[in-house]
Amino acid sequence: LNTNRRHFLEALLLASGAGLFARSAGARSRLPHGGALHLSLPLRTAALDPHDPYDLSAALLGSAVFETLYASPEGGQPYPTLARALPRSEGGRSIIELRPYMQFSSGRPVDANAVVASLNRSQRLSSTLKTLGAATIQRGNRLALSLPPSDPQKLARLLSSPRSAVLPPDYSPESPDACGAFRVTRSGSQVVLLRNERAPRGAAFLDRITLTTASISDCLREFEAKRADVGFLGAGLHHDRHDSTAFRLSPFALAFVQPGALLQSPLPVGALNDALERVPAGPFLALGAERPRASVQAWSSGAKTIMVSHEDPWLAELTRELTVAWSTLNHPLKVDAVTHRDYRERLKSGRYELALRALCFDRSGAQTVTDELFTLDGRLAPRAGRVLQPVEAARQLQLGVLGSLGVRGAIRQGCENLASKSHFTLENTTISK
Amino acid sequence: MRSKPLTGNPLAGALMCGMLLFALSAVGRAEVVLPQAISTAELPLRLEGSGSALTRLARAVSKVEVNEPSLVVVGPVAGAQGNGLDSMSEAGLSELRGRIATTVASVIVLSAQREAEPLSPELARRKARDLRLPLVYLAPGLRGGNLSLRITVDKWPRGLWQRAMHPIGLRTASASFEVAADSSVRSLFPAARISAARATRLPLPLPDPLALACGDMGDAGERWLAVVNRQEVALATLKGESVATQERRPWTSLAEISGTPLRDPLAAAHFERDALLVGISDRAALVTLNQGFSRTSYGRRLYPLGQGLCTEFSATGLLPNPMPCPVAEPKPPEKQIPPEADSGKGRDVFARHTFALPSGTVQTVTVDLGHRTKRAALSISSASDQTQQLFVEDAGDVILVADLDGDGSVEVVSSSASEGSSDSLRIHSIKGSKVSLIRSFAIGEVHALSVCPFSGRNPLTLIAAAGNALWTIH
Repeated sequence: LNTNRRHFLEALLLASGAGLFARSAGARSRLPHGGALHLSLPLRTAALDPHDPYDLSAALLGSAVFETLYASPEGGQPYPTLARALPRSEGGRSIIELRPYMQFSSGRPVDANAVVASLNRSQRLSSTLKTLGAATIQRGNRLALSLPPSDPQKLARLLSSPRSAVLPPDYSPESPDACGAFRVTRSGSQVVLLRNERAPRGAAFLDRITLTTASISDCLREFEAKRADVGFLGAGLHHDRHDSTAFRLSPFALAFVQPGALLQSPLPVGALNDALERVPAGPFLALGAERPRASVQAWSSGAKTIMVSHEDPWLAELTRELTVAWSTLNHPLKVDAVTHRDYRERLKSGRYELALRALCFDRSGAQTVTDELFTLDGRLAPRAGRVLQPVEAARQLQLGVLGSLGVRGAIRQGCENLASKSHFTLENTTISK
Repeated sequence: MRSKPLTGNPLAGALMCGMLLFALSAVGRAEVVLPQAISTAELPLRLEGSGSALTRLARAVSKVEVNEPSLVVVGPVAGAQGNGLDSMSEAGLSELRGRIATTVASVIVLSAQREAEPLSPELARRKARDLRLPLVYLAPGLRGGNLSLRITVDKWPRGLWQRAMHPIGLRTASASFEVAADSSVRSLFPAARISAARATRLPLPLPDPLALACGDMGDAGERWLAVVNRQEVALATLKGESVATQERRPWTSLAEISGTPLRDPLAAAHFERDALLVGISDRAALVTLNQGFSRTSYGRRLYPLGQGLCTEFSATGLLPNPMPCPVAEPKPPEKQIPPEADSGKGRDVFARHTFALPSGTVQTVTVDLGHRTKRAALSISSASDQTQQLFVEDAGDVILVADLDGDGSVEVVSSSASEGSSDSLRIHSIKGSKVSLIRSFAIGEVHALSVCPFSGRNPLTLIAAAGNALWTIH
């Protein structure tokens, strides 16, 4: 099983569906409803924000909870999902009409007001939709919005980015309300995704997905003990689980180290990246970070700590490995594990020496990671010539790239049947004429 | 003494004519009362509703008020050429006439005499004149799988002037009715063997169909096939082994996409009352298309079950709550579904069919298949018996119940739930409490099923969309 992160949950859901109910193939044309899935993940699930390019959980789980106006299959043409049709030109503007009767999981209407608020919010939180321009509600029609003129296909592709997910105007990442196949609830420390019966593209097949945040070793232990359905980065902590099938997703985020204002002296351009390129790959590969092989070489930037959020076990684990690789007897480097709130505030104010961050890829083509890295560094990305790879870009920046993050591991057996009919094809009806 | 000729006194002549007209009209008013619902035109009135075919005919005939003792005659069963009547034996025709006389003619209460023989209209008139009784004549006919009945009431005027005005009698009422032949009629045809059925492959009018319907639309006598997929509804004619698409309508022109569609679609189509009823979960709408293939009515969150019944969509499938379909309804706002409103209630298959047994008893069969089961539950009930619960094992989510061979017991046609099953379409018979497999076909993954209405020959033709082809099984 090898798929990309946009199909992460779909792959898991299908796999579990097939595993729970062997009737899903053969002469049966309708997939059965029901069943539950338990995932133990080293990710912060206390909040989900699809507009935040640094939210790893939203990147992996977002397709189950959030919807966009359009969808864009890899290599295919964009098609309308929440929109009624592709954008049309009218009066020198691009007009997008929404489907009627749609609701968020809370019961509030999905209308142009919500879409405009979502696009504005996304533009505030990331630079992905910066080329979109200002969206306004079409006068006299609460189901239509107007945007600056653009090619319909390009605009639809841009609006298929997960960063353009449609959210209610007062969206709170801590209590997400959206219109995907699942709605988000909480039960103690667990996040429970329940079937959203108001989903404009259809409620999920599964009744429930339970998400627990745990360290990587605890995630593997849970899978080995058959208390979880997915083994994160392996098939077990001590022994591989026999009734499991390995899977591997293509990289979905880029881990990088960002220098802060508390560094004693500013780093020369490219120095941090050079140092990261010399860090051995082995331990990071085991933690899901893919990077080229390099020789062991300590490096001192003068920093004493690398800040990370302890609520994000995966990044915290990577930070620990990095401090081990860079520490010397004379210059020990420590993990500065803080709460997620402190982490965000200190990143904003620059009150840190070094910080490990992860930036999610946007495969809709709306924006490249390189653009985002240049923006973070306060510089404009070069427009001439070929598109730079992140590592190449980092050589021209003060920050340094650790590597790309991909998910691999094992899933309880039954994932062999990836039925194509499970893909929701209602949108074809909209674009058929 | 010579009387004065009438012509010589214009006032007296006019008075006489007025009295004569009054007398004639009084006779016409007193003899028969025609209710508004009864058609007096030659086109028969199609009788739908509950009860067996003969019961519905009897109900209609009872509305013809005959308030004078009459001679009641049931004529021989007539049939148009090429309607399959030739396959019914003389004994069968005699039995059918007998059933009509017993069930239908018996509702005429004021009958001075009932004729046992199947007299022709002329002989019946002659006999009624001789007996000086009004004649109630019932002329049954079989045409294209339909049983028709024409009832006429003739009275013989007694006065000189009345006889002069109506030398062949006074037709005081005339009405025609038509019902689809059910088991009470079909059981008189020679028994058919489903085990000998064969499948013929035809091209599909639309790719990836979700629902099929086979039936009649209008009086053209053609067999129509409706095919529904997620994009379009198509209407095609089915002649022998050829399928010709006549009309196509995209769903975008029929209904809006639902605010809460099902992730896996459900669709159904039925021919009813000279119209096509189609429903699909993508739109959560019930649409009625007329003979011109134009939309005539529209219902929110409704799904057609056939025989005038509908049910509602749940959040995951169908709700097991059959109700009469609305004939015409304005477009109300789509119903808001609260989350988990129907937890555990959704069905992959829910169907209800009413059948008439040869005895005239009406039986209701309900098919129920939940989301996580391979057993289709059948509930068979009738007014006289207790409800019987049966199960069809290994049933996929395409199930059809019909009396294919016309023997008065239902057959269950289902896809298979087993992965890689070679017999993807199975026909089970139900005899008493026993469900047994009588025929299976390896035609690939079954997407939709329909059965064509009875046209005079048993067994009924089964239509299946399986794999990428259309199959007729007969």
